[in-house]
Amino acid sequence: MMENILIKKAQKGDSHAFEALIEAHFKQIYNIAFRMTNNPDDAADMTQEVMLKLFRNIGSFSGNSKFSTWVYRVATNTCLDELKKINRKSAISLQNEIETDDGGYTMEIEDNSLTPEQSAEQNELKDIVAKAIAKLNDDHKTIIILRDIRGFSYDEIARIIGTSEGTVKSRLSRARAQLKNIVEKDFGFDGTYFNK
Amino acid sequence: MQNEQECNCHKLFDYVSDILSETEKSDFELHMNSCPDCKKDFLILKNIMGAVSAIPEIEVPDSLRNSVSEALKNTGRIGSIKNRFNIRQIVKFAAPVAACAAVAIGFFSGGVYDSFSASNPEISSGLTEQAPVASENPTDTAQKVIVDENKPIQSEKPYKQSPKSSEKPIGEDSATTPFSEKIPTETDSGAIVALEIQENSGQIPEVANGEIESSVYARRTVKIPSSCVIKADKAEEFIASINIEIIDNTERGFKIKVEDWDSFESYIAEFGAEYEVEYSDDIVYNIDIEIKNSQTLDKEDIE
Repeated sequence: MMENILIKKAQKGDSHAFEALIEAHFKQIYNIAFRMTNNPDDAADMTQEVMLKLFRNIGSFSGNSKFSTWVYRVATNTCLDELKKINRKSAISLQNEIETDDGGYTMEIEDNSLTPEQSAEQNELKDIVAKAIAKLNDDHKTIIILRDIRGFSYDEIARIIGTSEGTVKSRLSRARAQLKNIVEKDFGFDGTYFNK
Repeated sequence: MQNEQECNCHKLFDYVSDILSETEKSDFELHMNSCPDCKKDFLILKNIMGAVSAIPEIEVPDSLRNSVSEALKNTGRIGSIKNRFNIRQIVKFAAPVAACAAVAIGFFSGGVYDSFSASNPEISSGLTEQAPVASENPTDTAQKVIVDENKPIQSEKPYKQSPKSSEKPIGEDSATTPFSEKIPTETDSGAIVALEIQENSGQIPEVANGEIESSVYARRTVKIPSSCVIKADKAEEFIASINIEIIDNTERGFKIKVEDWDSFESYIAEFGAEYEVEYSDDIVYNIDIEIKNSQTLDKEDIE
């Protein structure tokens, strides 16, 4: 299997092999970092730190778990460590912008099932929700990002964070409760849309 | 009818997080149909979770890809070095030390040794199964030798070892240099080495079959750097970056055990951490060396 070959080469110090190996996970890792910090610069630094840590420690990957599980375990732990270093309660800018290919920034997301007004309001909600996620505590933030944003399965999350599926679900339940509380109380969300 | 307390409980969140059993789910759904508060909370949560799952994926900036690529090229690897840290036997570490000392051994002079042959040197080291090895209790087989170049050690037994090929050929050009001046005190690996001639049997050459054989026996004492204290400011980062055993946390920094000194020095140099080497007086071992010199004589010279 190509992955095994690349792993072996990377373990011998081949940085090109490592880059090829990690390419499939690069975007995922960056997005986890971005949602942890809600700040592109911090996310970039965090991602780079994750990559370096993965490369430095790939020798410790013994093959007892899936390579992707190991990657995201290191990535998650490193992101949380870096978050502590950043020491910010909220890394959110008022304008939660996303870079597009042409270098511009937009928050426009098309959703054909909603009216234009509803679509705009949902975009605003997404913005608020992203800010609210950054306010969660580390455990809750991690679980919401991995499950609700990145779509990892309960089993995968359990392996990544080193716990049982039952604990993952309990933690997710509490995280969602906390998230709802923040969105309602800190951002005035009441009902389907904002209480204006 | 369920009371308000239950409407505020986190069964809603358990419901959406797949914690409830099928029966509990059905019960909760039934409840929601008749409880406006829970139903409202459910709709609010649904909108929030809808927004969460709709948070878009962000493309990785090219600048980040480039900087990661560059950083990876400049990064040292842990795995390969870590393997070298797994050397268990100090006797293996001593091989390069022995080679260095073996070169120094050849640089001696006087008498029969003037015609030391570069083509047929036999230098043996104590690195055999019979040889004493480094030990925390050096009195077992190896004698703890006090490093003192000026004080010959009285020994009851000769130190004869099986001759082995030297790793490096011994040069001829240093035959006139007094041996004592060439005793190295430090090798490239940082070990302290002392060399003492135990017995000079060259004064009474044995003659056999037209050849003079003489031997010098020497005991080489080696102290190996056993641990290292890494200065505090970089210690945690360094130790986190490699898998190494911490012996102690001192005021000066973290004390770690070092087994493969060469690899360690190479790696820590890359890392840029300051450190101090520590030597244990108990971890010494002696390498017994026999150096033979053969010279063929004509029969008439002997008679």
